[in-house]
Amino acid sequence: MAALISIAVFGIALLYIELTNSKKIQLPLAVVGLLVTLGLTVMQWNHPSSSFNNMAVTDNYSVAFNASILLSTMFVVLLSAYYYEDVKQHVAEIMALMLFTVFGAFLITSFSNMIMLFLGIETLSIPLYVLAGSKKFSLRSNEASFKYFLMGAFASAILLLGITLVYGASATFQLSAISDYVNNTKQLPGIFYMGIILILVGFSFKVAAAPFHFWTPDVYEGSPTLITAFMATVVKIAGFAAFYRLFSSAFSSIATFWEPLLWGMIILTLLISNFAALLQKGVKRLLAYSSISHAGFLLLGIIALNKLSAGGIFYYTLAYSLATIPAFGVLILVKNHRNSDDSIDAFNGLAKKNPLLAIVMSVALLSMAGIPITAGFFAKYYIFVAAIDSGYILLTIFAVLAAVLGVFYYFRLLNAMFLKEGEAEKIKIPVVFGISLLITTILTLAMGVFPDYIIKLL
Amino acid sequence: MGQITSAIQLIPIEHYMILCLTLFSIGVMGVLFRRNAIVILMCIELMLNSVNLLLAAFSAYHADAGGQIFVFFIMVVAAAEVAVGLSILVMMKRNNNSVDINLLSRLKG
Amino acid sequence: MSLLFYILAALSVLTGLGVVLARNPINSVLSLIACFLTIAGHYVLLNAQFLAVVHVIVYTGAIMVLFLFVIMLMDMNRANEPHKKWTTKLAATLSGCLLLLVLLASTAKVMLGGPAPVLSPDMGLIKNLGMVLYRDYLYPFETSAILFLSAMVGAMVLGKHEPKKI
Repeated sequence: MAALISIAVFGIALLYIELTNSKKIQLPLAVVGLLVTLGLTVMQWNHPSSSFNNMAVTDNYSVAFNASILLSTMFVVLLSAYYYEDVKQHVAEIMALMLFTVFGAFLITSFSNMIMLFLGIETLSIPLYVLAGSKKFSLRSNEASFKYFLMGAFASAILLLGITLVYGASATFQLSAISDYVNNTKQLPGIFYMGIILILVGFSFKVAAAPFHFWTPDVYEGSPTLITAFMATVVKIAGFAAFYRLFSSAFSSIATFWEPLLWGMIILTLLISNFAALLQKGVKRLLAYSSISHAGFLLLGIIALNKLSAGGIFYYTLAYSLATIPAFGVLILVKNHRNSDDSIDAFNGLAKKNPLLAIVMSVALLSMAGIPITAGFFAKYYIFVAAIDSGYILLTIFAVLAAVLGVFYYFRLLNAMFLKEGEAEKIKIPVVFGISLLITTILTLAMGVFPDYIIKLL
Repeated sequence: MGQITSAIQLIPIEHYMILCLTLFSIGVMGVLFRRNAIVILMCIELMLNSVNLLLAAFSAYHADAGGQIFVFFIMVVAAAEVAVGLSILVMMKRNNNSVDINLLSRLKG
Repeated sequence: MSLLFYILAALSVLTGLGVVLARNPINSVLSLIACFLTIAGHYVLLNAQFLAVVHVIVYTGAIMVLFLFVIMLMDMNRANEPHKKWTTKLAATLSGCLLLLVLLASTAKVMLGGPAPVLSPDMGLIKNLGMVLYRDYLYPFETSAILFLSAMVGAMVLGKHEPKKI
């Protein structure tokens, strides 16, 4: 609870700091806020508690996910120092909105009541609609924001209908009570099943899994790059934390019903995203499709539904975030340097003049592709082990093939950076920016070499 | 009040469900059907309201106040959503001079 | 008395269709207001009196007026919406009907279990709801403050008119 209050208080404090209009205070305050909250979060480790009539539960699961959300947000905020260098207005508001998004993410990692799930998802989404449109004079940003808003509101309505139908059958919003209801009822009514389907649809909209992924490439491409990095990491982590929490507690007893649906979704997601990614010319869209394909792998952890799942999903989301943030970071620098050209050709010959950027980008891409000694390898490994443990052998083989396909498009970018000739010149890396890139890269490698420390947490 | 209460017990919950699901489907149809962004926003409001009514009906039939409380939270969220949505629309209109969603196809691919 | 329900239900569906089918956005708004009023009537029938009042004040009084303001101020009150292709319209209608069919199919054989509903007439009154809201549901109530704050800040960030500089 203390962490939740602290993030809200720092968010509000940032709004007041806007009055001074001095960026020298804003960024450090946001970082201090995140660090304090991180400290308060970690202090809750191994101190499970539930508060407010069991509305919110704090356990190691939520603490771990909250910590990784805070870590990702911190790296994004560090990148923002450079990104918003020339922007005069609203920088403090944008950071405050980021903190409020994190507040919403906290709510859904630790919910135990459907009301909190809904409120948390909305608190997570509403600031993001605004953030996506925060480049006010860019039409693309406007449109991304609007598209994200429409899809988000539509998905919320569907999720709500699902929650309502489940409530209609079980007469409760409490997860444990729903689980009891499922266990004690011989024949569940049709509306309960319908409710689960609708909740599944709502969630797959939010975490961008096929067939409800179509908004993702457009929104990711149109939003300001920094915000895209933020969306791609924080929403994914929180969304999957909530997804697994809901389906592993309330609906675990009728897994035979929803697992086939999820099975189909995984196949579709992996197929569509990987083939579409092969065709992309822009790096931002490529990363968007790669993010969809990661959602497919993560769903594998949910369908497995065993004691390895939680750890696998946690490891995967952390590894994915630590790879995504530097990838978008390098993209920001290259894009700024090339007059907002974000095609793969813009990366031609990057390694010659900017070896550091090229190395950071390659580690990130290798981690996303799942090549050993990066975190991404063990992320996929743990998820696959969990799935095989539950008997999804065919599905795992399919996922491995999809991962192999994924290597192709990541290597296209690597090929452009290292082998192709280009008129790249030296790009100056701002200090804070560089530190953020380096730390994420080192963490990715460290997680790849010593995976045990992370996976044993959950 | 007693009269109303006894009347409602004559109406089976199924009829409420049919009504609300019909309204919800009309809303979904509108979202797919229309091009004017502001009308689409209204259709989403219609969907949310059909859910609200369904929650209130379930809440009455289960004699559980939780459903009605949830309706208040949905109203809170709807109000916040509309405020943000309309300001996005205003911003778009200012830059673009149109709220036709087919202009969004610039972002296609 | 139960006739009242069916009349209101028919009105809700008709006005709901009006929202979707009206050519002019203003007509859509008015139709939606009428629809919300019938929904308020349903709330009264369901013994949710406080909810009915809040619904009228918040939705009809605030949200819909906001819609009207935006339509008027932005000069969108003309039926100049270009036609979608009839194939798109047909597909939209079909998918709407299909969704309805699927949803209705799931309501067949509803077994809500337990004893027959006992409607307590006081459940929807302020006193009772207040007790539940501020005792059992205090946590979501408090956290929704941040939701409102972020929506407020967001609307101001986006809505504020600034000369083109950046």
